[in-house]
Amino acid sequence: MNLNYVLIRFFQSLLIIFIAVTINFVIPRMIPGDPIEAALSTKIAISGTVSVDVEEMAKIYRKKFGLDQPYLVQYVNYLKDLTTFNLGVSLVNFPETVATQLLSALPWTIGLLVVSTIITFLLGTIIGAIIAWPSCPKWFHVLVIPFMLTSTIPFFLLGIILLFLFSVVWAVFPAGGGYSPLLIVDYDLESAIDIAYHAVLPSISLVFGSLGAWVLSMRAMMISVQGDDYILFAKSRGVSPARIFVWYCMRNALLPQFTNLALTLGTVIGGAVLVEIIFSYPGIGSILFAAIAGKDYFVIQGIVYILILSLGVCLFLIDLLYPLIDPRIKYSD
Amino acid sequence: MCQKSFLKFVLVILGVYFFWGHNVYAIEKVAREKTLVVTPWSDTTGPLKNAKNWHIYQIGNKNQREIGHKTIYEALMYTNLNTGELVPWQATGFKYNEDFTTVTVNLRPGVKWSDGVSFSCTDVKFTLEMLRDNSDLNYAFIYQEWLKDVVCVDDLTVQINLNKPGPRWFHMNLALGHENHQVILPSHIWGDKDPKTFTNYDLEKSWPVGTGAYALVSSNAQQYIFDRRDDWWGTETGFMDNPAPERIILVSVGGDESMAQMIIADNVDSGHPLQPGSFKAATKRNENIRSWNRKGPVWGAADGCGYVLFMNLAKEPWNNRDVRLAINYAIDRKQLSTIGYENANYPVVLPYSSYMSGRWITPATQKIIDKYDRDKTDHQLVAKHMKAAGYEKNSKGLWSKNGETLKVPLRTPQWLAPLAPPMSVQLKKAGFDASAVLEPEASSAWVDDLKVGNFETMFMVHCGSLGEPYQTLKDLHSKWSADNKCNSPIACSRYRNDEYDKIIDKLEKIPGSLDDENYKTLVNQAVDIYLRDMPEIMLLEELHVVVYNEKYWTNWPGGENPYAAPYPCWEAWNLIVHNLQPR
Amino acid sequence: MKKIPFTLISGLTLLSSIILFGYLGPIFVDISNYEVASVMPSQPPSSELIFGSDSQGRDMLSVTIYSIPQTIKIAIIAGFFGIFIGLSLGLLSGYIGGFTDTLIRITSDSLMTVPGIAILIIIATNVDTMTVELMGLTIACIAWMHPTRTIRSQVLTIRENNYIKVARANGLNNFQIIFFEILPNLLPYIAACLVASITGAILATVGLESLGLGTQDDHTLGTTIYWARRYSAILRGQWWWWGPPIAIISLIFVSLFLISLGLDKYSNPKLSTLNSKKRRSGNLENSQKDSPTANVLEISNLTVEFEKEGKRIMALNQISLNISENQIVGLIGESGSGKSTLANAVLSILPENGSVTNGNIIFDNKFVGNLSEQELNKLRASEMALIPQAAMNSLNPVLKIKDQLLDSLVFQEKDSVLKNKKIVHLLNQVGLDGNVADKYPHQLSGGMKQRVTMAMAISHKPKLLIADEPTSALDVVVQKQVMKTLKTIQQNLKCGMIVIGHDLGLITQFCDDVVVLYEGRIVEFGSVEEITQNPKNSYTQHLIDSLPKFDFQNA
Repeated sequence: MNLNYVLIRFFQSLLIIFIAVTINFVIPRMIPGDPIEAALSTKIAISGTVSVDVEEMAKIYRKKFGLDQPYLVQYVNYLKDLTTFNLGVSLVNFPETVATQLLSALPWTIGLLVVSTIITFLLGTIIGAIIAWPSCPKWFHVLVIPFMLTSTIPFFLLGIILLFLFSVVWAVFPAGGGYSPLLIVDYDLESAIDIAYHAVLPSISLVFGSLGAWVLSMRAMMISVQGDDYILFAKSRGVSPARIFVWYCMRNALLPQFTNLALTLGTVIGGAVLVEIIFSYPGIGSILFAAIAGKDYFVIQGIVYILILSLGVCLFLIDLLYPLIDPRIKYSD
Repeated sequence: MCQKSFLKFVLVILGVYFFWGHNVYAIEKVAREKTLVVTPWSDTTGPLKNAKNWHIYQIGNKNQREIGHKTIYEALMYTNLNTGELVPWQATGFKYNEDFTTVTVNLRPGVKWSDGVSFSCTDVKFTLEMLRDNSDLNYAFIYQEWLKDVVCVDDLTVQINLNKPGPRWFHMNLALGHENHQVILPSHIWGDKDPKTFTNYDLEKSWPVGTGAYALVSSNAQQYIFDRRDDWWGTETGFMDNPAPERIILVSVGGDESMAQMIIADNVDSGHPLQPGSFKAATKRNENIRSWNRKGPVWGAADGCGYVLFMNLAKEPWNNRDVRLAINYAIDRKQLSTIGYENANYPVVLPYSSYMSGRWITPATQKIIDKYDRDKTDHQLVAKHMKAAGYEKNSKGLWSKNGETLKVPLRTPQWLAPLAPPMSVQLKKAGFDASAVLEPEASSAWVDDLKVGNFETMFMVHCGSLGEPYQTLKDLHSKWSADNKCNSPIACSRYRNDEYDKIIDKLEKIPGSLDDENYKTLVNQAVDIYLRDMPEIMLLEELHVVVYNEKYWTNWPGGENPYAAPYPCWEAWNLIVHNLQPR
Repeated sequence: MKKIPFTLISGLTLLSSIILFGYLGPIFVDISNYEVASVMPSQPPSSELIFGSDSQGRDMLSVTIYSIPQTIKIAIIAGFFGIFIGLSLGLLSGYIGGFTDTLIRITSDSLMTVPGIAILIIIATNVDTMTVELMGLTIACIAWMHPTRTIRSQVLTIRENNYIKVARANGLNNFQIIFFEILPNLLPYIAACLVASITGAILATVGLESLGLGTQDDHTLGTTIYWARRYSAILRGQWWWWGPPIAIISLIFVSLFLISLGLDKYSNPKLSTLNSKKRRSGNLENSQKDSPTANVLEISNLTVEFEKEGKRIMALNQISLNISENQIVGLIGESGSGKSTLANAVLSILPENGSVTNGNIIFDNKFVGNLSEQELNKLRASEMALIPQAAMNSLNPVLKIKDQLLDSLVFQEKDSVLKNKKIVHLLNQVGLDGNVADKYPHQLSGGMKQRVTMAMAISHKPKLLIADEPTSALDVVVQKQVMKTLKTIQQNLKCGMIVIGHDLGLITQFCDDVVVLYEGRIVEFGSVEEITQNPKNSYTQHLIDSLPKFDFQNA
């Protein structure tokens, strides 16, 4: 692989991440009002019995978190901290650091998301390709209709329906959580099975909820590719229909699909947040939700940063993968 | 060929995962029926926080509020809020001096820390003075205000000297029963540490070290595991048998729905209270589930709080008693409970919780309540009071004066949301231009507004009714509020009444006791003024539908056996652990 | 006027019924029952309460009817705002280019890197009192990014079109160009973007509302779901509380989906092929000709028709033609005269909408029309070969030349070493170096690509070789080389050959006989000498006349 190519892509990604991160810095600070005092006051007001001088505590916190500095200084510190992954401290759950919170939740989200996305992409691409092939049997079309219908429902709503059907009405799957309470999570078979069991409903929501879009876009791609000249030529050469289907049509339709994957990753992450909340899945979504409710400034920032970073990394990786599947890019410098 | 080597590769990875990845410090399994599985209080959802930080007093660190933690750090005494009785534990007794400036506490002989060192006055002195001397610790402000010093008469006799008379100081701070988490720390471990940064967590050294019957064996964001010790001082001194659960697991919970599912599946024994509706649905699917009361519709247990509608008494028209009374008579408290809480709570007119209303609503107090008869819905009385305040109904049937309708914006912080819609409808029916104004979930603008007096009416909770009337009646004393600040939400209503203030001042100086006629008389005087003026409108008692799953454990505290107040965040949960029996 | 697809109509109908249900509902139902304490709480659906009631005493039917217009309002505000901004930025960015373009592109790209939901959450938590209108504006904050991108890329494509250059040359200023030339062409994309925008907006608003960040006082479909979850309606089996909103939301999405499918079909009719193509079964007994001849190809009375937008167009009209071994026939005619159609018909690779309506094609004494697909494939792989027009696009971009050649050899060799040798040999035969085998098509020049297709054509020693405008896309010097190679091939194979072209000069140099096609009919047929010296048809004369002549006598 060309070093130039990698470097250019790398710096492009860095630039985009930098801009996104700056926006991430700016938006929460446009919050009117003092988040620290607000967070403290709410907690105190609810408990009622203990009266604490909120202003004093707020002052201490503010100094600790450097929120009394001018914005420019804060920004520089912010950037410095980001590079060392010092994401700050949770306001609400002081002194727990944001990084600790996220680290415990990240594996769950990654597991759920990655597995679901890969399954959706593969299934959607294959089904979409088969549907687009003129010799596709009719029964296949009928089989696919339920999938298309379920994909029109946003996947977190689909999650609600699944939760209702499979946990409340028929108690087949657990109604939430990442693993069962008694399980001591460990690297063994029992844990793996338990975790998989709990992950079924959330991942089905994610998969079924987005399958339709992939099927349709792959189908559209395949149809437009089938009109290309080289398909006709291959047919005229007597190349077997199966080979044309896979190596001439699918292979070429895959490229724009890959781009779509990159573009929709952002939405997928968003959807996963909502699905996690519905299923009380111990991932980043639940933390984000709680942080918003508690106005936990730094946690929100930290999560958004991780999301930006991972999206940027994914896009970068996809950019790197591109030459592997499209030789036109590989060899044209 | 490619496929075969790929398969081999996968198998190798799996092998590594399952054999090498296996935790070397594997914890032994304990049978489910010997394990107590619990979840945290309802304001703690999601992954468990601060798993590696066991500093009890660090501001913001709420670990001590969780069930397992209370089995490590015990209390000098526990309070059974339901009856007001104290349960001696690390201490055997206490005594105030004449003017309530010194309290002498007697420690129980034989109490030991988990590493074998004896529990003694040194530890008490160290802890209380540490709190006095370090202002950015939790509760430090209490000790800065009250504590002069602690003197160790001998190893088992502690003399706490206060800065000013504190007739109820010991009850409030060291007889733990609600959200006062002031436990004693081992001075031989904490003595040389920096109180600002010490994390008190090191499993190899068995930190955290406490006197309790359990020890922490595992702590991460999903679970805390506490195992019963063999060498608890209680069994050694013959104080008490070992508690029945061999293991306690605290697991994270996602919320109401997720708690319900877990308890229905018998995966959890108690913890996060449920909403009345969820509770009913859960009991339908699992008959082992019960709450404080075995029968409804009032299932739940008290928490010392009541829902209240209070108004900004420094503003028109709320400073007009007739207007307040009119609003009171427009309200149907029973219907508020029916719609907002599915009939699960009691109407109240006084800021008394069922912790003490049973004993403190004496016949004399009841007479006063009956005299004023505030708990009733009567549109004629509404009209009478509104007319007396100078209002007339306009063409749309709304009360107005000088061409303006009386607007009642019912500001509602998120956790009180169920109250707003029904009350808004009730007020509208009585002719008030009412609207429900729900504060957004993440906003705390209402806190700032309360402070500066920028509000009309607001729903709130009036809390603190733990053992005696003074605890809640005091909030309306004028000294707690000024034009632009107020010490507690209730005080923010800015009630001004000299007569009332004088009574409260007197009450402050004497301990609350049903044997003290003087105290009772003063209380009734205050109650009379309160009900006459209605500076705030109490609505319903706040009850929490605590849940117990009796599949594996019985002898929970309940209406029929109220030996402790069952909140996962309240210290007395240690009593519960010691009382549970296997099924 | 194109036919409006069924999906578009059904989608619009569904969407309008939902909207009408929401806006006209209050006429039939007492809408004030959406307040709490209006009816008995927690009632399942019955004859009095068609949708039941929730646990706070709201009549769910009233709630549903009330909330539909609110959700629609948000979607429309967000969708239209998003499109408006997206359109403006996209036009600016695509048309003006340069620094503006880079700026806009980088901003939208980096904003797209931040997951939309995070931005929405942050904005929504800071709005003091959320109203329906504010919600719409909040979502518009991220709804503009996708349209900007799409519109921009379309504008870039359109901008390079010739008619834009013409317009500019005619003196239209930028403003006029954008409004009168570019915008009309963007309409299908704008429509598609609008549908996508609205879909995304509803998705985002329902998402936010489910998190509790929606409007507080007003009911929308999403907030109803939020309250249902908050009161554990799922656990309690009160499906009538959250069921209707989810059902309505799904129906809205289904209708939007149908609309977008319809719009797609409307602008790109090829996408309407959802039917399976029947596999040709073949009729082998009847495929053999009774009296075999030495002709490689016999076409008699062939008529081929196409169906386009409901009309039938006749591409070939009663064509009769015979080609024998070692005969080179040139097929000449102007664009659209049916030359490629003839080639495709012979190979039986007519597109979906074309069919043979009359006549026969007999190849090597077999009735082509009666052969099964499998047998046809065999024929194409071994006996017939096509050298396609526009070799630029005739090679699969993602496979190496070697692999594509192997596809042609699949019926012949099994041993891989032999295969590689054969490939190099083949390439040499068409004048290419053996290392071409490891290259990808885009690394070769036009002429090289054409030779590769020739190599593919001859790889299996066909009896009939059809060269469809083999040199049309090449420059003159290369043309000559390619034709020379072609000649060599034909001499080696001694196959029957059809050379299709529109350059009479080239054809006459190369072929034995010439067929002239005009509007699907053969208007002239004869040897090269006959045609050039004695053309019988005026069109032929016309073609001859248009050949450049060097008149040395008048020099």
